[in-house]
Amino acid sequence: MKLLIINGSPKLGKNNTSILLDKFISGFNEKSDKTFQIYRMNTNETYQNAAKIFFEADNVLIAFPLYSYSMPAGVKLFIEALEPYIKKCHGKKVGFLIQYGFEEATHARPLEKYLASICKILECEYMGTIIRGGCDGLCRGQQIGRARKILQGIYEIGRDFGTSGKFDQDQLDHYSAPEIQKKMNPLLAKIIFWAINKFYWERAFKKNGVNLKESFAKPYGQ
Amino acid sequence: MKILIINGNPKRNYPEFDLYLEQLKKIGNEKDIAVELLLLRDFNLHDCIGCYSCWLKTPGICFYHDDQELILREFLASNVVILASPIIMGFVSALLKCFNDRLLPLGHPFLYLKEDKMAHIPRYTHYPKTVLLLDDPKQEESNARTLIEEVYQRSSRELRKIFTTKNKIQEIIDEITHY
Repeated sequence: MKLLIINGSPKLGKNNTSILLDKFISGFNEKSDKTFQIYRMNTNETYQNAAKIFFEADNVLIAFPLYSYSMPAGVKLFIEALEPYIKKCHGKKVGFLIQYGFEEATHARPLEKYLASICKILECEYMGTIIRGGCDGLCRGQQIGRARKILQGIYEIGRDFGTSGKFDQDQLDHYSAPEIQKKMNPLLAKIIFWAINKFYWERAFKKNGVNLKESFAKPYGQ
Repeated sequence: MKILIINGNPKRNYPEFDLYLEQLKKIGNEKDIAVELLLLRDFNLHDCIGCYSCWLKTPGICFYHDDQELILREFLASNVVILASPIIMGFVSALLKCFNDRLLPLGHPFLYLKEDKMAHIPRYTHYPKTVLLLDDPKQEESNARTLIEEVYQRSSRELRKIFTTKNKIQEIIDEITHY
């Protein structure tokens, strides 16, 4: 199998999407009969180019972060560049990888439906969407303990995809859990979120020379 | 009462959509409602690159000092914002999505639990009510409106309704001025 991997992270340098993709690829490559090409798109020119190489590929994985509950604007520009290929993508297999900061899978479900609908418009085969929350800070080297689990999971998905040529929905669901947070005591929830804000975000403010009060600035009024 | 229309139509060869919005502004103004119409494709807007500067380095202010600053000020000063876009490949335009992505400075990174899932706390006290205004989907995009609604119900703090250019302009004005 030859796999085209498109990385749609709009970030300029290091990005969480590529960290996940690297692990996916190391799993995918475990057996030697696979080849892959990776294409990074984050400019107008690369969005247009990506559409062309997408059309020529047989197997494609499109990976990007969740922005505002859907794809980043640039990835949408890429999708718009696919307009000439509507109903012309028979035989092509397409899967997706979405990663983001919030923990729960539910945030990406509407987008997942949209991505399936795009495959329908193009008339290609929709393979599925790998959804993984809790990925914020991976590329800043934060949350090391949890990162190991996130990376091991994507490695296994890559490995199994390399063997079978398809995604196993049960495996994807297991990887993206929890769907929503378990019901918890409101007091306990308050303590947990206080701790996340204190030790994750406030630490990040401090690193940038911003104090807690300044972090709440309202530069545009009110 | 101040209404802001954000026109995310990227296509110069689709003037019907722009004309509908110009009519909306005109009819609103005739009724003494302040209606502002911004044509996004005439603005200089950089895509959000997820750098978090607006959260961690210069709270509330984007790394890119482009026209979005002006738009954010207008946005916060409005009672109702109409996000307008033709449906392209089953979703709102990349142009309107660019504007949406660049709303990040209006939030604060702190998290809280909202209906069993994480959410960010607001930075400002008040946000405008939001409606979407779409055109008619093509046949192959028939479920686009439902999908767009599902996404925007989560991403917009105050989404009230989705209109289409099939709605009578008067109906839209009557409804949104009562929010």
